[in-house]
Formats: sequence, C-alpha cells, structure tokens
Amino acid sequence: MRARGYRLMLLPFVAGSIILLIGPALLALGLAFTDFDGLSTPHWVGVDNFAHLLQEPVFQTVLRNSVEFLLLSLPIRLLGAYLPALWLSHPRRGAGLYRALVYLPSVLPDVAYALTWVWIVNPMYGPLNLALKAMGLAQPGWLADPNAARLVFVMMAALQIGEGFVIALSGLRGIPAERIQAAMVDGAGRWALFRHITLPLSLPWLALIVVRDAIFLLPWTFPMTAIMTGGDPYYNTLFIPLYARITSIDYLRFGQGSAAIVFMIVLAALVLFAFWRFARRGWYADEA
Amino acid sequence: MKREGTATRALWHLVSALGAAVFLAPLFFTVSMSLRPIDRPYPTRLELLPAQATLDNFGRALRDGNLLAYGANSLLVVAVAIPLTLLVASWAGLAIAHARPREQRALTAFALVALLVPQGLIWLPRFLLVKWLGLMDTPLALILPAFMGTSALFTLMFTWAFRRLPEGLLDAAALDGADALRVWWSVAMPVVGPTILAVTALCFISYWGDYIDPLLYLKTPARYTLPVGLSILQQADRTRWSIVMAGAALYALPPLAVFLAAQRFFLSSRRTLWLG
Amino acid sequence: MHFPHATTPLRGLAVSALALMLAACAAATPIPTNAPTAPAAATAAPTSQPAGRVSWMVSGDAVEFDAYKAIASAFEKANPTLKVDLFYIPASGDYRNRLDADLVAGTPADVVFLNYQRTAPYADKAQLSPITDKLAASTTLKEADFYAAAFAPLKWRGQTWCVPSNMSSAVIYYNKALFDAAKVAYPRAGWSWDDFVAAARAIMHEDAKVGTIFGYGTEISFFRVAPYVWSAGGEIVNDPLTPTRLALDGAAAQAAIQRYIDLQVKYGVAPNAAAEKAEDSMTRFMNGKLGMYMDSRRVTATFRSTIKDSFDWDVAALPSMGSPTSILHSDAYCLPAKAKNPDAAWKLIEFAAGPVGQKTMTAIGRLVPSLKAVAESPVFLDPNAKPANSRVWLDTPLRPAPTHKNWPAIETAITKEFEKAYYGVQSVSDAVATINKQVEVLLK
Repeated sequence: MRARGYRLMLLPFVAGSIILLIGPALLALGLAFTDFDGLSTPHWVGVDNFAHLLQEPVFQTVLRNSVEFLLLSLPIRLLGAYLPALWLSHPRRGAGLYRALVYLPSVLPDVAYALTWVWIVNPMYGPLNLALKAMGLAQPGWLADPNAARLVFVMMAALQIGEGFVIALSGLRGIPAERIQAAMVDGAGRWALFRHITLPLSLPWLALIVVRDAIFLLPWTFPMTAIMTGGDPYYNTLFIPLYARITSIDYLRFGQGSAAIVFMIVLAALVLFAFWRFARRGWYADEA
Repeated sequence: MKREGTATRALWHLVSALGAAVFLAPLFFTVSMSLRPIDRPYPTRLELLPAQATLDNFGRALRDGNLLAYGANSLLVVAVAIPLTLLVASWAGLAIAHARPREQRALTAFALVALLVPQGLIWLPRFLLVKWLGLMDTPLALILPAFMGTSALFTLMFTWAFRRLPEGLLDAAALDGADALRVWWSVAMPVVGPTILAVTALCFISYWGDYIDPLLYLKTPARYTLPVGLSILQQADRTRWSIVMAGAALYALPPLAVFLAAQRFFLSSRRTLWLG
Repeated sequence: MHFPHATTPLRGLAVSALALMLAACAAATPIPTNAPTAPAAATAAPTSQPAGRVSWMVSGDAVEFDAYKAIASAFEKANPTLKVDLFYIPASGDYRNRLDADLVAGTPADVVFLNYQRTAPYADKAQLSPITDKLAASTTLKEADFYAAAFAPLKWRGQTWCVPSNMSSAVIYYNKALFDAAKVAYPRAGWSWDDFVAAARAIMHEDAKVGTIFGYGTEISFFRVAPYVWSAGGEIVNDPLTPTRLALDGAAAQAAIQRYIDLQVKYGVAPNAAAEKAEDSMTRFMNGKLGMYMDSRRVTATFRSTIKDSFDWDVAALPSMGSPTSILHSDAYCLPAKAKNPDAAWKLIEFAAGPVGQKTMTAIGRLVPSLKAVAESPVFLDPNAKPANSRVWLDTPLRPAPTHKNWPAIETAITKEFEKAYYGVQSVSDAVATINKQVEVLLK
C-alpha cells in the first residue's frame, strides 16, 4: 500500500523526464544518422553526416574553437572557484559578504549578462578598454578582433563560477578538523598542510566541478554567442551549439546539426574520461 | 582559533575586496552606464560614476521597452512553474529516498542521466511535442519542464535532503498508518525548509532567465517574457546603451533580490544544498 | 482566449511529423514527398468567397508592425467574412527560426514574408505553393503593374512563387554638411568610383571635438560588394538562375572587389573592425560623423526621425565602376504549401501586395514600392520628405542576387571571406579561393 503511494509520487518525474527529455534526446540522436531536412522524409545515411562535418572547413574551425574554449576555460574556472573558496572558507567577519559577491555574477540572467558584456568590451567606449587605456596598455578590439573575441567568452565564463565555488566550499568544509589538528601537531607548515591534507581531500570536489563544466560549458555558449556575436568575427566565436542551430534552422540540415551535437557530447566524454582517471580514487569516499 | 593581528585582518580584507570587485564589475558597470544621460556622447575616459547621473533611463526603458507588461508575463510563468516544480521534485525525492537500495541507485542514475542531456539536442522534438499538445503560443509551453520537476538536480536535492532525515522518522509516520501523501505533507516537507527555499530560488532564476524557449514557442508579442522584451529593446535602441543597460539592470533585479534573500542557502557552509 | 493552433488536425500533422522522424530509424514510410513541380495546393481555384481565419506572419520594427496591423484591419473591412491573425516576430533571425520550426511541424502561417533570396530554398523543398495560376487569374494583381526587376527573382523552375511587396536597392546616403565642409561637390548622376573615393578621402579627417570623421562606412557583406562586381563587368556566378560555379575569380570581379576593399585597407577612409564594432557606421552617420553610408531604403525612416535638422542629407546612386548598377533588396509575400486557408491567404496577398497594402507600407518610409503606380505617386516621391532624390531608387538598373536552393549558405560564406579581406586579414585572391572551395559543395 505504502510502496504504491511512493511509486505514484515518482510517476510525474519519471514519466515527465522520459517524455520531455530522454525521449526527445534519443529521437534527436537518431536524426544524426539521417539526411533529415526538417521537411521531407528522412533517410538513413549512416555516419555520412559525421564524415561530412569532419571534412567541412567551417566545422573544423568550430571544433577547434570549442576545444580551445574548453581547455582554456576549464582550468581558469577551476582555479576561479577553488582559490576564492580556500581564501574564504574560514568563518570570519565579512566572509559572508565576499562569498555572496563571488556568487553574484552567476545569478545574472543570460540576456542581461550578455548585453552587459557587449558594452564592457566595446572597443572604444567600453570600461574594459578605457581601463586598459588609463593603464597605458594595448586595447584589443575584443569582439571585433579574431584573436581576442574568444577570450571575451572565457572571461565571461570565468566570472560565473558560483556553483563551482559552492562545491569547493562544501568540500573544504567537509575536511575533518582532527586531520588538520593532527598534522599541525606533527609540525606541518601551511604549504605541507595544503599539499598533503587539504588538496587531496578537495580532489573529488574539484573533479565534480570539472564534470559539471565539461558538460555544461559548451551549451552555456549558445545563448551568449547567439545574443552577442552570432559566431563573428569570421567564425571565431562559433562554438558547436550555435553551429548546430544554424545548420539545422538556417540551412535546414537537421541531420548534420544533430551530428554536431553528438560531437559535443563526445568532446565532453573525452574530457570526463581524461579526468576520471585522475579523480576516481576519492570519488565516492565522501558519500559512503 | 588564535587571534589575528589588525594588520593581518586588514590585509585579508584588502585582498578579499579586490577579488570581490572583479566579480562585482559586470553588475557595477551595468548600473553605472544605466545612470548616464543619453544625450551625452559615449565616455572616452574610464568613469566609475557618470557626471549628472540620472534615473531617467529606467523610466525610458520601462516605457520604450514595455518591460512591465513583459515582466508580468515572466512573473506568471515563474508563479506557476515554482510550485509545480516543488511538487514534482519533492514527491520524486521522497520516493527515491524511500526506495530499496537497488532501486535507489537505479533512480539516482536515471536522474543523473536526465541531468546530463544537453538542451541543444532536444529542442526540435520538444517543439513538435509542444505543438502536438496545442500549447504553442501559450505560457504553458514555457512551464512544461516543471512537469518533470524542471531539472533532475532539484529531485536529487530533495532526495539528499530526505535521506539525511533521522532514520525512522518517516517509517514511524508510516507505522501510524499515514499514507505516502500524508507522510510527504506533514512529516517530510516541514523538515526540509532550506531545500525548499534553495530549489525555489534556483527555479526562479532558471525560469526568469529563460531566453531560448520563449523565442521558440511564443508568437504573440503580448505574451513575450522579459528576456525577449529586453532583446527587442536592445535591437531597437542598440546605440543608446544607457537605456539598454537600464533595462538589463531592471531585468536582473528580481533574481538578485532572490539571491540576496536566500544567499545563506546558496552559500550555506553545511553541505546541504547541492551535494547532500 | 483564442489559440489558433490548438486544433485536432494539427495534432495529426505533428504526430505524423514525429512518426516521420521515428521512421528515420526504421525503413522508409510511405509519406508523400511533393515534387517541387507538382504542388498540391495550386489546383484549388477560389470558387466562392473564402471565409474563416487567415494567419499572417511578419517581421520588422514596431512601426512596421503598426502598418501591418493597419493593413490587416483594412483587409478585414473589405472582406467581412475573414479574420486575420497577425503574428509578429521583431528580429529577422528569430523570424526565420520560427518559420522553419513551423514548417517542420507542418503548421506554417497562411501568408509568410520572405527575402527573395530565401524563396528558392523553400520552393526547392516543396514548402511553397507556386502562385502562377492564381496570379494569372487575379482580377486585382497584374504582373505588368509591377517592376519587372522585383518579380524576376521570384520566378524559378517555370513557376512564379511569390508576390514582391517592395523593390528596394542599395544606394549611397550622404551628409551634405560634411561635403560642404570638405568643399566637395555633391554626387552627381553617373558619378564614378574615382569621384567617390576622392570625396571619401576629402571628407576623412580628425575632428578635435567629436573624433574621427570617416569618409565612408557600412557593414561588409555580399550585398555591399556585389553591385560593384556587376558594375565593373564581372559576374557573381556563371548563370544567375541555375548557377553551377562562382565567377568571382574572373579578372573584372576580382579587381572590383579589390577596389572596394581598398577603401578600408589602402585608403583607410572607412572604419576598421574595432571602430565599426565600437560604433557602427549607421550610428556614425546619424551622429554626423560619417560622410557616406551605403544601405537600402530601410534606414530612411530611422534617419528621418533621428537626424531631424542636425544636418542635411540625401541619397545618390552607387558610384559606377563601368556601368551604373545596384543590387535588389526586396521581400515577397508567399503562400506555404501547407497553408490551411490558401484561398483566403491568396486574397490577403492580393490585398497586402496591392495598392492599399503598398501605400500603407510606403507611408512609413521603409521601403520602395514594387507597384509602379505607387512608386510614382507622392506617397513615395514626397517632395517635402527627405531624401530629396528618392527617384534614384526607381531609375537605377537593378540586378538580383543569384537564385539557388543553397543561396543563403553561399551568401554567408562569401560575406565571411569578404569581411576578412576588408579588415585586412587576407588578400582578395585568398578570399576568392576560400569561397570557391567552400561553395563548391553547396553548388552541386
């Protein structure tokens, strides 16, 4: 009787996820193996879409952009979450305020955050370049400069690290005080303490941040690039999600668009695999 | 803990403040620009606060951008989506927390898989689904994800919260003859207040910020939500940055308020919120 | 509340679309694919007064939306049995997303609004009903009443696909005050490229108060360069209606592209990438900081309302590199193959593309009418409204962008490479070579 009650309570979540999320995802994955143009009957084309994408110069650029963005943003975001967490983990007067400020950019809505950055990086009148000018430094054209445009998105991602920051804080909070005290009794210095106690015990949490980023960082670029650049200048800010949308909608090649998303998933899986080997030791230690 | 010297404390505050300033910068420059009179040429020197600061741009953004009407639409979406999400996610969370270990693992894995589905993948099938359900051009199309608890993360948050309850609390209630719904309402929910608040806040931010769905599902301008309204304002007024920034600041205000009100649940030092 | 899409037949369509996608994973299902030459909807001739609702999807700014609303209500007044559901998507990119999503779901609006370059891709996929017979039978629309240049790109594979709502083209807007200050004569009819460059160089200077005054500026794109290629005697493609390869590598074409790109790279009279991003050329022109600006009629209304009396301005034909030519900017009203109410839709097209509709749209200043009678009337050639020289839109020989089912993708590829060359990152010959390589597969 009771069990049935709980089963029923589970139903909306499970059924909803299957109908709204997992079913559609499987359908879309299937499309990657067809020539679906959105309008006429799709035909099975095997891995043609994938082969075609790999040969297409624009997609090669998109893939390079995406990998570069991931490889650049991941470590910066990891440090950006971990260092403030280390600095602000002890309860202290004012720490709460600083923690709130670190999290703050992460709650700004996409459109507001994107528009704000378009203004911040305006090559002539934006505060960033005016600040660089005041310091006598070179002022890149940012979104107008093929070499600098991608960095804008790295900077944007680097400031939205609230979730990672909280994860890191939680990890640091979970380190048993006895371990620290025991080490201090043994005469360990600050560095040794960090190196041998804090860092190893933080690793599973840092891994969690990487997992999260590997999966969500590229999708995050979609609204941002759609609002800010449309992929310009010269494909330099075109990442897989926007490319997939343009290929599907503008050029009516839904099969290829889906195939591009599959590449994104593969990319995430590769990052995760690389990191898995690094982090599997303490993965569930804390859960158990 | 040993006492620190004043110098150490001052240094710590200095470094913290400098670091925090970096994170504050985007919001700061949004507000600063929104106060700048529109008839003045763009700045050519870094200015933290504009001379002759004015609040006129906020009125202009509200008027030109019709932001109040769009804001009302956004509020409607949020007002329906949050309770629905809380219902679905807490039900599922309780059921999972209560399942046998093997089922629990399977369901958790299911939730994790659901969590990892990239949004970019599913929009086309979901678009067809919305059309089939006859929800095109209605706010319900935007609320649809709430029927699965919005994000599997919320279900997991409830699962973890319920699992932390003292063992036997739920069983005792069940032994008293309470059915699942009673246990949920009178025993489980009252003791997971922080999780409810956290999910509410996250859910608010997620629906308030949703820019992709309204573009896809809404046709009638009178039903547009705030992010679409803001992007229309930007397209119409793209050279008048003060007005655009005023609109952005107004749009960002509610999630900021929610965050500040609920920040101790976001930043709680206990490991309650995200990870169980 | 009325939800025009919540009807059962539509669910059926959506279900079949879903089923169709499922079929992708299994064997092919017998879902009919319409050959582009055998459209189903064209056969139904209007026999009686159509009734019911007709949906109409448009794009544009708020003023355009108001004009569309006015047309819709005038149409309802003239056809009391019909109600118009007007759907308005402000930005053109969003508009296309919506249209495609609607087509995929099999539920497009009854009347849609398309750039002429986008009609062939949809016609190729059997998404539009040809209107050849309807137009021939129409008592209100006569093809001869329209400018031939506007209709030309809408005829493809032996059919007429849409009715042109306007016939704009690229011109040079110029700031008379900056010409006066630089002691340069205003552009005269038939001015040459050299005259143009000389004027731009004379106007270009540093102003102590407002900063750099540029001679010329516009966003770089296929549409900005193509007219000069034609003017210089070059070609874009080997055959405008059935292109099989690009002709940009021809000597005349390459030289024309080079001369255009020299404006930025060699003479520096146009903003570079960073300057354009900081403040785009249109804004510079409105702020009195740009001597000449290239665009279509679209910006006229904006200039009227923002520039007001701060300086005098006018339009001139594009300077010539050989024979005077400009490029067609035009949109059309089209009838989707899956329109639910095609007879009513055609009635609406007749009305919107007819004199009432075109006069209403012309009055807001954003377009050049495609109907000769409206274009020659004071609604367009209003002697009291700027620009004084509106005739230039009616007198310049126009050519359309080539017609091809993949044209939007081809155009994007060309624009991207031109942009790279215009901002000095690659040479013209490299740009053309890259374009050829990328476009080859699209032209197959």
